[in-house]
Amino acid sequence: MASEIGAAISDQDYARVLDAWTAPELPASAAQGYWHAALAKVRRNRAAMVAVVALFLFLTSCVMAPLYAHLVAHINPFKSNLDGTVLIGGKQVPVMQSASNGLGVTPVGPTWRFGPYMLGADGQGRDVAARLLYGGRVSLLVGAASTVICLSFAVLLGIAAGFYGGIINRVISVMLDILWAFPIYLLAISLSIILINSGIRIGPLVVHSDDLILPIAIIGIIYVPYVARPIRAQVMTLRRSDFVMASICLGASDLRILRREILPNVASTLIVFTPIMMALNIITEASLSFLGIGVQPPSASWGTIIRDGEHLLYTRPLVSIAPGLAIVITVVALNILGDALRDALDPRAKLTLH
Amino acid sequence: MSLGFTIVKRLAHMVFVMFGISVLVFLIFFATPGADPAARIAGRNASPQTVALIRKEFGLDKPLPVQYLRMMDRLVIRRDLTSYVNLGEKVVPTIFRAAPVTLSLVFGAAVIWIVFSILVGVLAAAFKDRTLDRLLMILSLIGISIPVFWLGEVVNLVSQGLLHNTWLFSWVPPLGYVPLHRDPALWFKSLVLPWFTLALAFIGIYGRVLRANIVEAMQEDYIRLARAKGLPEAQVLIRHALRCSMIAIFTLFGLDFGALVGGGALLTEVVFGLPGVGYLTYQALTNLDLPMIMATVTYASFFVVSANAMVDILYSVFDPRVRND
Amino acid sequence: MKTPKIASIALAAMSVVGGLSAPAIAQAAVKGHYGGTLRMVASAAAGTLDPQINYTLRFWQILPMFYDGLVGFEKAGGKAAFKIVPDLATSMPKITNSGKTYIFTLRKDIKFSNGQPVTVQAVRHSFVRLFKVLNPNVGTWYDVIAGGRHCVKSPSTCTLPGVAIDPKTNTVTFHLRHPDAEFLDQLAVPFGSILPANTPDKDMGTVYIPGTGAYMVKKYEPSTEMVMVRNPYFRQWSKLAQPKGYPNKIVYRFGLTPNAQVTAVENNQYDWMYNPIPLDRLQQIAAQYKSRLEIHPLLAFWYAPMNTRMKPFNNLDARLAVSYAINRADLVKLFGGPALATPTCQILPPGMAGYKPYCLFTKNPGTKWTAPDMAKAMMYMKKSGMAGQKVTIITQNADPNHAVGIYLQSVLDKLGFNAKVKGISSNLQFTYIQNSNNHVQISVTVWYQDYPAPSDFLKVLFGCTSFHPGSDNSINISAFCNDKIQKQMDAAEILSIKHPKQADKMWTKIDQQITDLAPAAPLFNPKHVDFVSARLHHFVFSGQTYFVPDLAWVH
Repeated sequence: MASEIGAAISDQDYARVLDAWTAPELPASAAQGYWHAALAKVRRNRAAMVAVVALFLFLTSCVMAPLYAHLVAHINPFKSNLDGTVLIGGKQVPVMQSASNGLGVTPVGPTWRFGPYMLGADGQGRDVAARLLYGGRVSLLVGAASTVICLSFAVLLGIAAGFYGGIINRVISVMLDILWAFPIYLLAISLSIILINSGIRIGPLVVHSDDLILPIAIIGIIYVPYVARPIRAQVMTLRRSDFVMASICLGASDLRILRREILPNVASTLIVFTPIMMALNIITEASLSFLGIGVQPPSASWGTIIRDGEHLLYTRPLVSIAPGLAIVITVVALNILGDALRDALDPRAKLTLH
Repeated sequence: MSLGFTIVKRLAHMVFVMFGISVLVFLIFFATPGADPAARIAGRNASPQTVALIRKEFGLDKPLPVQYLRMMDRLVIRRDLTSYVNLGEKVVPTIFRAAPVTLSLVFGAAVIWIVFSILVGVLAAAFKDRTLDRLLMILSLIGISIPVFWLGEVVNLVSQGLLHNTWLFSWVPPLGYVPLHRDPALWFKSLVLPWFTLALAFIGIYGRVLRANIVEAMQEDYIRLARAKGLPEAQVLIRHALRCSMIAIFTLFGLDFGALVGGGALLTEVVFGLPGVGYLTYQALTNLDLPMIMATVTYASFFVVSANAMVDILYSVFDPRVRND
Repeated sequence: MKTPKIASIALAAMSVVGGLSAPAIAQAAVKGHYGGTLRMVASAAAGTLDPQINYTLRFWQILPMFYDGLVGFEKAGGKAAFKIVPDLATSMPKITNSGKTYIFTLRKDIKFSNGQPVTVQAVRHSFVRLFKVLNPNVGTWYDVIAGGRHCVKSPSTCTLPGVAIDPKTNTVTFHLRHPDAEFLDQLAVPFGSILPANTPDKDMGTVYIPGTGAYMVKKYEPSTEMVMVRNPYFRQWSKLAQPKGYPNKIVYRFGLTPNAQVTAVENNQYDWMYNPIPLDRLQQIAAQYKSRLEIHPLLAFWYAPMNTRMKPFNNLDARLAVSYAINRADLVKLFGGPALATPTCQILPPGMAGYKPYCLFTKNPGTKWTAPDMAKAMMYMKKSGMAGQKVTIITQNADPNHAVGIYLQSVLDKLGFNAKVKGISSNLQFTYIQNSNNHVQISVTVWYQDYPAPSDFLKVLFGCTSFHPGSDNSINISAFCNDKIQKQMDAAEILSIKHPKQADKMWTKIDQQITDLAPAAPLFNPKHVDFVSARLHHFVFSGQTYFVPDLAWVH
């Protein structure tokens, strides 16, 4: 089910499964210099630096969304404004213009000026530019938070399965396989309805229906297999490597081996995965929201804005196109960053961009 | 451990995973409020007595494990399971009617993405570190980064709306699927744009993987040997390096193809109005039509899980280390 | 839009005059319209084909082409569509025993599409079958037939003594438990179809049951298409109830998105589309193909039911505040403009019996909504003491329902509530908001008439008897129950059998009383837009079943 959305990852994934068997085997002592060298290498990568700057700009402008709405757009982008007007070319124009024959209503188009309705209005008469910034906050937040969840679970499961093997490995691999082929859309639909009703209570933790935690959790969990499997393979190889064997012979505890030998190696894999997974999660969030089962109003995300604009595609295409472009730019930047990190951290890098 | 044992083990694992998925789906369905099939079958404004009778008639008053077994029996063994929404519609034939649509879409897209990714990979590798290489790699990256449903919408906007009346897109038929046997030309025309839309991301991914593999292969000893024998560079690249690099691509291809045939092309099918398995799955889910959900999920998980299993088995053929898990 | 009406009158006149004296040219023109294939398209099929079970607008539109009841709605445009005419019965029934006995005489020589004759046994079997196949409305409509109560409880032992037949005189007699003004309406809808006496007592699903209509179903695959052809045993006995129909073949294709449907009809690949036209396309279509658009008002209303048994809307002032504050002109914009919807502040829709324009929730109350009265709304809000209360609006997750919810949220916030919107799957929302276990405070929904009777709006939506706690089938979404009004509704129903005019006056008063108590905020009355191909002529719109496919000319 996840394949189409998950397309972006499948190369890294399986290339990495192969890769991981020959992953760099670092004794802990060498780590310090390795990280320094890697950082320097990323810094020298011009494309990566451009991507970082672009991401930073996106992030700051999205963080400033309330400022923009307040000072520039002069309007709350979460309230419908069906009977408002806007000043264009010295004339007050209705935000929602009814056709003369009464058939159809068109929202005001882009003014292209740094002010109210710079990118026009959507079907509720709301300012698209301001919504785009607010939507960016949600999209980036969901992307980042679900990446944290995904990587945390993946590390736990991957290390447990790879390090201990045997029955633990078998149970975890069944879990991962089930997750891999599970219809995420059903999960999303059902959870959203259950949560509307009652919210979820897990011990002391109460999740309310309007929390973003819902799409974050769903997206965070569905891609765990993508990351957990390569980590498991990597840990398995490390477990059998000479320096781990040596530690075992010297009587080191499991915990010490994990901390000193395994984690530093896994860490580099995780760092490479972080931007790539975030890119994938942003696309997934948009896809789920587009189908109406991701982020729920009143929150807006780039995906929900695309969906809002679907009904205006022929008259005001910008409502859908602008958030789509925002997604593409963000995801390209994240992928470039992922490439650069991979080059820097993995001496046997295969996917390079330069 | 022998290869045969590995395969048997893998098959057992596969069945177990499919069982797990179907149980989970079943449980989630019954935990969803408002999904009560009896009330939905009874129709609006039905009296409580009628709902109760329908619940009994459809066996919805039985304990969940019994209901599960009955449903799976009708789905897998007797194959006469019928929909709760379109009452009387048998779900298994419905899926088999939708399958050709999905197969048409995925096969065509696969041909396109293999051909183009080979082109991209070989050209980029041949011009390594030069402008063409960089351009192709940037384009591939962009291709990977475009959400497929948004791309589909933009393609529709341009081909059905903005430019539909120009020579460029006047040939584009309305959205929807035309069976191959009814009108092969129309079948082709109505699928061209969906094919490219679906294929774009894969061209990017496969092109990049292929380029990396070819570049790596070019360092290997056997390539040096071929060069030493005086073979032309182009021949070395295509005959030797490419052929060797295709192996990695084919395992990737197996996984992606399995998932797409199983309904993973859902977004493309929804955007282009193609009534394939993905679309059917999506409709069943939004209708909360339990029998149809169970059928499409079983169908999809079969393809995904078996593609997984196949790739794993192939791995164990290539790399005996994995068999010792 | 005007021409088809004139044409239909001309046509009717011609059939009265008959073939002999009509001018040869005109006759040729009429004859020429028979034939051809009508191509219809919808996003999805609508479930079972069984006329005694299917309860969807989508199929109630086509089922009358395949099946007949003892009586039926006239197949015509305008007001005539709400007129009940004899169909398989020779004439309207004789009603005796102060409205409790209905006697029908069955027409002779009518055959089902499998060649079997229509008999009184078939009629009796059909009504028993209604209960045995668990028709959705047996417990709400048909249990009025003597013995019906027992049949609802125990369908397997149902004998339904209330339907008596006499093969000698070819009559069917219904005995009712009490007078019922809507009994004929309920016989005229597709549930009242007469089926062969050997039809199995189970939902036949996708299998076509032989019928008496002008057309029969040759193929039905819900995921692809339905093919309808002429019924070889059909001969026209009543042009009003079951006309011969013009197209020789009708194909109904399923599975195209609304956008794709518009494009296909625009390019004349289909003749008619079921789904509403997406708003952005409508504008383009209206500009380019004005003459191919058909716009007709519906007996329907959009409303926001407020739960009268839950905070904050168990408070009358809070409900009134909402009703006064809603700017219905804004909602009309959301629905696509003034040509597509009209603001309303009452429950009965224009055109319904008993409808009298009444608008309290506006500036300058009177007969027409003009503008919201925010001052009054704020006054009621203050009186209610509900400011700051949390309110969740449950909508579908698709527009326009969802858009209306977003708009309502801004109204509620302006009033001082703390509102949020929750959109859930369009297929679930309608059952979800009915179940009192889900504690829905306010929601957005729409109600279309089953048949043109005021009780179908007032008693069904706001009667004590249609509230069932904890059930997904509890159509009184507001959980509104007022003993005084309930008594009036019961009385009006009985009165309408003998004195429909007086009853209508009572319904007018009931409409106003319920409206004043604001168990729901009425929003607007929608209009229906049909978009047809260039080659489709003689578009007939029945208020009962909408577009009448069998009357369209495609040849």
